[in-house]
Amino acid sequence: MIYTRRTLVTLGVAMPLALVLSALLGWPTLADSPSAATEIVLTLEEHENSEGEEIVLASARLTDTAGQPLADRPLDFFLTVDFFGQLPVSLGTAVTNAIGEAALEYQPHQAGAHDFTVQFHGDEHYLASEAARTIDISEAGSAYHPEHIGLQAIGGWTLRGIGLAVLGLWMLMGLVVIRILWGIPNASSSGPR
Amino acid sequence: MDKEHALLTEEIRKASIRPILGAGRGFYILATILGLIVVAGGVAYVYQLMNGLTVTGLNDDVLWGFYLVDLVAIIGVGYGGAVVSAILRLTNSSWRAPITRLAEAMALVTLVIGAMFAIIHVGSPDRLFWLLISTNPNSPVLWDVLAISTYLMATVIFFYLPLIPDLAILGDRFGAEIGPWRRKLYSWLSLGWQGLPKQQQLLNWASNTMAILIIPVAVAVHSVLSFAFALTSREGWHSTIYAPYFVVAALFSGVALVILVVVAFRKVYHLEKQIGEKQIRYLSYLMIVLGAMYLYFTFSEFLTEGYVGTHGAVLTLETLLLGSDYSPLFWFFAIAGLVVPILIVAFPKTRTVRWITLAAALVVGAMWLKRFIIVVPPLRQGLFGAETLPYNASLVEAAITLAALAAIPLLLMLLSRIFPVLSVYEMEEVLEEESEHKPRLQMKEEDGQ
Repeated sequence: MIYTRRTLVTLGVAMPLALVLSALLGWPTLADSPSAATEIVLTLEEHENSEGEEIVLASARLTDTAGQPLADRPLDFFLTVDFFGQLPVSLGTAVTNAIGEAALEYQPHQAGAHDFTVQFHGDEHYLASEAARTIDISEAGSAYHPEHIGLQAIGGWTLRGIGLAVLGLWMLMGLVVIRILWGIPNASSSGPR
Repeated sequence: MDKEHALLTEEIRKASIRPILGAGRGFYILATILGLIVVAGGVAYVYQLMNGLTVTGLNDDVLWGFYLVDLVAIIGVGYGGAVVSAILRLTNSSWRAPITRLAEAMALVTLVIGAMFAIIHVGSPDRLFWLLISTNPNSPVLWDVLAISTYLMATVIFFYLPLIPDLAILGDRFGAEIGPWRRKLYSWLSLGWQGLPKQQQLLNWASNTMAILIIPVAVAVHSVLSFAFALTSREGWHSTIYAPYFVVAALFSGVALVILVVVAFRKVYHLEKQIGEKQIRYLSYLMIVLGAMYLYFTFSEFLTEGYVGTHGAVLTLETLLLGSDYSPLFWFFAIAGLVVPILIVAFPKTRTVRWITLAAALVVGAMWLKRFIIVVPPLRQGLFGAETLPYNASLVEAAITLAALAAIPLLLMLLSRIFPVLSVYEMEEVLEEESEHKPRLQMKEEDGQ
């Protein structure tokens, strides 16, 4: 390609002008494009919360390649579920603290292996990164949380009461059948004609 | 006993065994057609057993479809037969006598067929076995099975008790004509009935006990069926009105089917003299009272759900009322299944057997549709806010449903070839009461003159 003097002058003026304007207006420039790689270390721990329920504490530490923590960066946490195929379901977003850590709690409702993923989407300085880990949940809490207001005792007695009523019905039907099967033939052989 | 009374008694006895003795070509043709439909349904069920529920239109979203609709609707119509018979017995309504046998037979047949859908619906039948082995008393499904089996037992006993004197009377009177196997069966089942006071006393006690017992059992069955919906946290289902709503729906459709069965047997076996227009008219009154109750319940449910206006409830109402795939079904149910039958019976001009039959047929069909729009549209509401899969019933489901619908008249026809279609003993009792009252009335009239 042959550059004319006019082209070179135009470029020589336009480029510094563009750099000044981009610095003032916040336009992305080549100098701003992310170049530094990041790393995430995801840790999963099974805990029992104050109500005695099993929870998973998912904590992630975001650093640059030199191991320096990256603060105030949002990390997205996902759980892979099997629902019409394997899908990542968002559990939420947490922002890293001064030592680059972000964490959230998740209460599993099923026992078995749980696949967690944490993602940093990158920003103007750092590239995106992600990490994944699996934890095996031995015991899971129920997805249904009725309020404990003392109705359990009534519920238990109600079930027993209904059970007894059903038993009573069957006994009464049995009595009807026995009395008929025994009574009618007996009455015909002993009663007045 | 005067001559007229003896003649009437003889007429009743002859009419009651007319289907046993007089099955013509029409019977066999109809039975063959219905039998073929049932066999086709049986083949479809075997195909489903071999391939699983994937051959149905059910999917991960709409996991209840035709089979559950059939279960609720067919057990529901059975309720009408048993409870109508029980209530009329307890209130000593003499007009009931000619229709109780048909009503009770219908209850028995529909209950047996309806209960089969509990097995068909779960796909592999061994799941029902595991339900019984690994019982969960907190599950409405366990109580469903228990309630239906209790109700089935009660219905069998309730059907059998009034047969005892009838079989003895007819066995004695028509022993030679009914053939040896029926004679043996009648003699065995009638338990040596001779109409002795002690036997009558015992039978009355047993019949009344069962009549009292069958009403709460039937209420329980339909309440528990409704709990399978109402106890789930799903919009359109978890409603406090559901238990009585299901009970009234069952009675409403049940009385309608009793009318259809009574009209069909009356017409085919020329029972017009024994089953008068009065019986059909009275049944139609019962039907529209229940229809009005159902209309009121529907209005009450929709008003409260719509007025409070939670997101899911409004979505369900919109689905049913305004322009969705399901709204034509809802409006057909509301107009053809509720308003038109009520109007037909309300006007004296249309209060004839023919029009009442049309009204009853509309009710039976519309109430099946109502069960469909109770079951399916709420399942189309995605719990995770996503689009759900549509439900299109497959040919297998349609074939099994049609087979069940064909099996009801077929089994009734077969039962009528074994047992008398009229409750002879009860009708003779009514006849005796009437003949006792007649001279007294005549004497009063003479005194007045």
